[in-house]
Amino acid sequence: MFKSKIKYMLIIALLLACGVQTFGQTVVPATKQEVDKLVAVIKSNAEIKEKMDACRLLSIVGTKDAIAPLVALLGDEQLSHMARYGLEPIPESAVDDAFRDALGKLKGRPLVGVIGSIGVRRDAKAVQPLMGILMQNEASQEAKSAALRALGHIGTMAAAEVLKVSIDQAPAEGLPDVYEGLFRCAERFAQEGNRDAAIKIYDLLRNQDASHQVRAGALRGAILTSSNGWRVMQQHLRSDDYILFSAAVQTAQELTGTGVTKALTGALNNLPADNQILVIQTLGKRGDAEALPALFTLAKSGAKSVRIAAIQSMSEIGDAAAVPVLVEILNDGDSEISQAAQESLASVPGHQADQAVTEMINSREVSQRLIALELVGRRRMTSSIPALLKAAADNDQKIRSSALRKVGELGSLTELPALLDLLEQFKSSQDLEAVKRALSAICTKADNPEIYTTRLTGLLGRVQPMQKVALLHVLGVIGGADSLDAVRAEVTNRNEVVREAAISALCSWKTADAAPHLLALAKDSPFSSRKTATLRGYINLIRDESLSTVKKLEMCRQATALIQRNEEKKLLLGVLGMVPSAEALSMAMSYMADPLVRNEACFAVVAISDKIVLQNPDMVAEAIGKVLNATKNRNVTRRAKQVLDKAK
Amino acid sequence: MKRDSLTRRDFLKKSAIMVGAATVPYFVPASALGAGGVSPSDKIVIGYWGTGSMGSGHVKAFTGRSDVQAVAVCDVNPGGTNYAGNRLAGREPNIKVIEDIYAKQKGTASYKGIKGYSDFREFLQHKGLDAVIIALPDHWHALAAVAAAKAGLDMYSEKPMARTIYEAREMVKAVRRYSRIFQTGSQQRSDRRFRHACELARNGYIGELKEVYAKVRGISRPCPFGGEPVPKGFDFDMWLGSAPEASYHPKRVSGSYSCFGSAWRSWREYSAGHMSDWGAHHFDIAQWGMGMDGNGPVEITPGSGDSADGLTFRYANGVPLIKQLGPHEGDVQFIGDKGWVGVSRKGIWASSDNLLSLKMKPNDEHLYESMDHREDFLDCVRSRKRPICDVEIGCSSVTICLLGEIVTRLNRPLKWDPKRWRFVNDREAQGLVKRPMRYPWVL
Repeated sequence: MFKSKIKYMLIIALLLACGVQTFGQTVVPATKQEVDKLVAVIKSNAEIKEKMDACRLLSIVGTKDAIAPLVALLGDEQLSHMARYGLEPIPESAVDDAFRDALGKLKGRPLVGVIGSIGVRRDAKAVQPLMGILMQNEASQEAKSAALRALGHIGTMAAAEVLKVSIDQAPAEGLPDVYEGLFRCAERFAQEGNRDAAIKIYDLLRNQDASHQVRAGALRGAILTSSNGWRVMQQHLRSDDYILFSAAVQTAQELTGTGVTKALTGALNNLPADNQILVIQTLGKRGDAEALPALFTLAKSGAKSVRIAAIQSMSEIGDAAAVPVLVEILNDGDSEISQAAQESLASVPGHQADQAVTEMINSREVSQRLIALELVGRRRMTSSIPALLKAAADNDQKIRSSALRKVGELGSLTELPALLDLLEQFKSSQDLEAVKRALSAICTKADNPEIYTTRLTGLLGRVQPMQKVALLHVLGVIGGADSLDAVRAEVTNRNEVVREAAISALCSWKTADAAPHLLALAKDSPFSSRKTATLRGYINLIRDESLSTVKKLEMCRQATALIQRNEEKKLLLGVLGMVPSAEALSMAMSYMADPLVRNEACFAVVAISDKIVLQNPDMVAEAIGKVLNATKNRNVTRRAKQVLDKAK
Repeated sequence: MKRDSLTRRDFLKKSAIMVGAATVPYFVPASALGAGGVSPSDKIVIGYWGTGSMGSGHVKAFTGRSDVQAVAVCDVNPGGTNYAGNRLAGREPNIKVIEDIYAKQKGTASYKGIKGYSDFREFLQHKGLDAVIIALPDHWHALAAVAAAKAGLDMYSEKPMARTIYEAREMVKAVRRYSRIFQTGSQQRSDRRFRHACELARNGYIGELKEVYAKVRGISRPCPFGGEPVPKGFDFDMWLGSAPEASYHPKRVSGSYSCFGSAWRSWREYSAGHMSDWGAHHFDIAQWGMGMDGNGPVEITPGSGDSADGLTFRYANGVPLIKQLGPHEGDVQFIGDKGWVGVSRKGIWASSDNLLSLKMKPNDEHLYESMDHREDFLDCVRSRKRPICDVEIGCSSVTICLLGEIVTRLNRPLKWDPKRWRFVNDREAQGLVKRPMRYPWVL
C-alpha cells in the first residue's frame, strides 16, 4: 500500500519540480496535504528505502508539520542521518530546539550526527550544551570531536571562546579539531567584517606549538585579514622560522599593491640565497614592475642560482624596462646565465624587445647576431623578414644558414622569389641545403604553393646540377602534375646526382599519380638499391586515401609480384591492413605461414577483418581462428578476440 | 643544534618532536635550510591512497621517479579479485609493485619497507610523509582531501574533484586554510595539444568565440548490484564511506574502465557517471579555453535522451558550452567567427593547418605550461606555487559536471550564480548541491 503511496508522492514531487519551466522562479511549495503524505510514510512501517526517500523529499518541501515526525527518527540508527538531512533545511527554530533537546537523550552514532547537524544550522544557542559535552567525562571522543567541529561551524564569539579554552583542555588527538574549529571561527569573523576577532584567533594559532600547517595557515589568515597585511608579511620575511618565512612569501602571491612589492624587495638583501630565490619567484608571479630594479641588481651579479631566478622573474613580470638589462646580460661569460637571459628576452612582450632584437641583427659580433636570429624566430617577428633575407646573403656562412632557417619558419610564399634568387646565387652545398629547407618549409605550410611550379621548372633548365638537386626536392614538396612531369624528366638526366635527386623526389611523392612511374622504375631499374627504393615508394603510395579499394588491391598485387625482401613484405602488410576487402584478407593470410613476417601478417589480418566483419562474418571468423592459433602477441590476440565477438 | 648545520631530515625530526609525533612536516628543501642545494637523497616522500585502476597507474609512474620515495600504500582492498577480478589492483599487489621497482633500482633480490594500511586515519599518521596520491572513488575525494590537508600533506588527487559542489567548495577551503599544494588529476592540461587549442581560442586566432562543444556522455544511475558476501579482508564499510548503506558486489566496487555500466563510476551513489568522469577532462579544457576558470555559467538548459546531448551551459558573455560532439573533429571544439579548433587525445584539428603550427607571440596570452602533470605537482611541492590544475580550477571544472548532472536529473532549465555558488531561487536544485553523509563522516 505504501509502495504505491510513495510512488505517488515521488510523482507529485517531480511535478512540482518540472512544473516550473522558466528561469528565476521559485519552485511552488508543497501543500500541507502533500507534506502530510510524506510524513505518513515515515510514520508507517514502510521499507527503510521508502522512508529515506520521504526524508529526502521533506528536505526540499518540509514544513513545521514534518519536524516532530522527523525528530522521532533521530534515535533510529538506520534512519537518523536521513531524518537529520530532512530536518536541516527546514527554516524553523523548532528544529534547533529539537536538536538541542536530543543532545541530552541520544548516544552513539545518532548523537554524533545530531551534533553535526547543529553545526550545519549554526545554532548559537547550542554553544552551552556543546561545551557541556566537552566537559563530560563519559562523553565519547567521537562526540567531543563532533562538538569541536560544530562549534567551529557555529562560529560565534562564544563558540570561539569555548574552542580557545579547549586548546589547553583537549587531548593531543583532539587538537586538530580544536584548531580547525578556530580556523572556521576566524574565517567567519573575517567574512562578517570583524577583523580584529579573526586576527586574534590567527595570532593565537600561529603561536601554538602546533603542526606546521596550522602555523602556516594561521599566518596566511592573519596576513590576508589584516588591513595592513603586508606589514605582517614583512615582519615574517625576517623570520628564522622557515615555516613562517615561506608561508609569508607564499601568501604574498595573494596580495596586491606596491607596498607588498616593496616589502619583498626590501627583504631580499638580508636573506640567504635559497630564501632569496623563493622571494624572487614570488615577485615574478606577482607581476609588479616595481620589483624590477631590485631584480636587475640581483640578475647582474651574485650567486648563479639567484641570478638565474631573477632573470626568469624579469620575463614573468613582462615589462619593457627589463629589455636593456636582458640584452646586457646576453653577453655574460657564463653560458647558463646568457641562456637564461635569451630565454627571458624571447618571452618579454612588447615592441621594445622586438626593436632590441632587430638592432642586434645588425651587430658587428657574429655571436650576437646569431642570438638575435634565434630570438627573431622565438618571438615570431614576421616584421623582421626583410632583415632575415638580407642576413641570408651575409658573408658569414653561419649567419646565412641561421637566417634562412628563420625565413623558413616565419616566411610565406611572398618570400619564395627572393629565396629562388638566392638559390641561383648560392654555390656551396651548405647554402643550397639551407635554402632548400627554407623553400620546403614555406611550401609545406602554404595553401597553394603550385602557383610557383612554373617558376621552379623554368629554373631547372638554367641552373647548375647542385641547384637542380635542391629544386627537385622542393618540386616534390609542392607536388601536382606539372611538378611530376618536371621531376620525371630529370630521372634520365645524364648527371648522376641530378638523376638520384629526381628518383628520391619521386620515392617521396605524396599522391598516387607517381605510382606508374615508380612501378616502372621498380621493375626495370638495373640497380637493386634503386629497385628497392622505388618499390617502397610505390607501396607507400597505396596509403593515398583518394584511391579506390579496387585500385589499392591492384597496386598491392603489383607490389607483391616484385617483393623479395622481408622489409618490403612488412611494409606491404602494414598497407594491406588499411584495405577493407576480402581479397586483401586473403593476401595478408598468405603471409602467415612465413615465421619472419607472421606477426605483421596476423596484425594485418585482424585489421582487415575488423573492417569487413559485418559483410563477411564467416570468412572473418575463420581467419581470426587461424590468427589465434598462429600468434601469442597479446595486442593482436586481444584485438582478434574483439573482432571475433563481432563476427559471432 | 646550530641552524646552519641542520639537514632537512634533522629539521623534520625536530619538527615532529616539537609538535608531536602525529604531525607531518611542511616540505622544506634542504637548500632552504642552508645545506647548500637539494641533495639527490632529499626526495619527496609519498604515500598512495587508493590502488584501483587509476591508483595502480600512479604507483608505477610515481615510484620510478628519482625525486620520489614511496613509503606507504592505503587501500581497503587487500588485493585479489575484489575489484571485479582485477588482480593487479589493491594494497598488497601494489606494495609488491613498489618493492619490485626499488629492488630493481638497488640491484638487490628484494626490497622491504613499504607499509600497508587499510584505515586511512593510520595512513595519514605515517611518519615523514610529504604528499599523498589520492585515487579513490569520487565519493571519497572530499573527505580524503580535507583529512590530508588537515594532516599537512600535499595532494595529487584524481578527477573529478568531488561528488558534490558543496564538497568541492569545502576542499578549496581546506587546502587554502592549511596552505597545501593540490593538483587535480585533469591531466589533459599538461598536454601541449590541449594547451595550444586553448591558446588559439583565448588569443582570438579563431576570431570571436561563438560556441564551444565538449563530447561527454550522460549521468549515472543507482547501483542495482548487491547481496554478495564481503570478501575476507575487504573493509567494505570503509569503502562505502559517506555513501548510503549498501551491500557488497564486485560490480559495485570495481573501478575498471573496461566495464563501464558495471563499475562504481556508473553508480549515482559514488559518481555522477560519464558527465563528471569525462566532463572533468573535456569541460575542464572548455573552461580553460574560454577563460572561465574560477567562474561558471549563469544558465543551464537540459539536453535530451539518455545521453543528455544538447545540454547547454550559457556563460554571462553569452557563449554557450554544449555537451555533445560538435560539427568538426575533436572531443572539445572551440568555434569562432573566423575559424575553429578541435582537440582530443588523438590529435588536434583546425580550420586551417596554419593554426596548428602557429606559435604564440610574446604579446599573446600564454597559458600555464606543464609537459607532465605529475612532474608539475612535484615541482610545486618544492616551489610552493599553485599547480596547473589547482584546487580552485578543479572545483570550477567539477562544478560544471555536477551542474550538468543536476539539470539532467531535474530536466528543467536552471539559473546559477557563479559568484555565490548558488542556484537562483530554486530550493530543490540547491538541495542537490550537497548530499547527506552517512555516519560518522562529516566534512
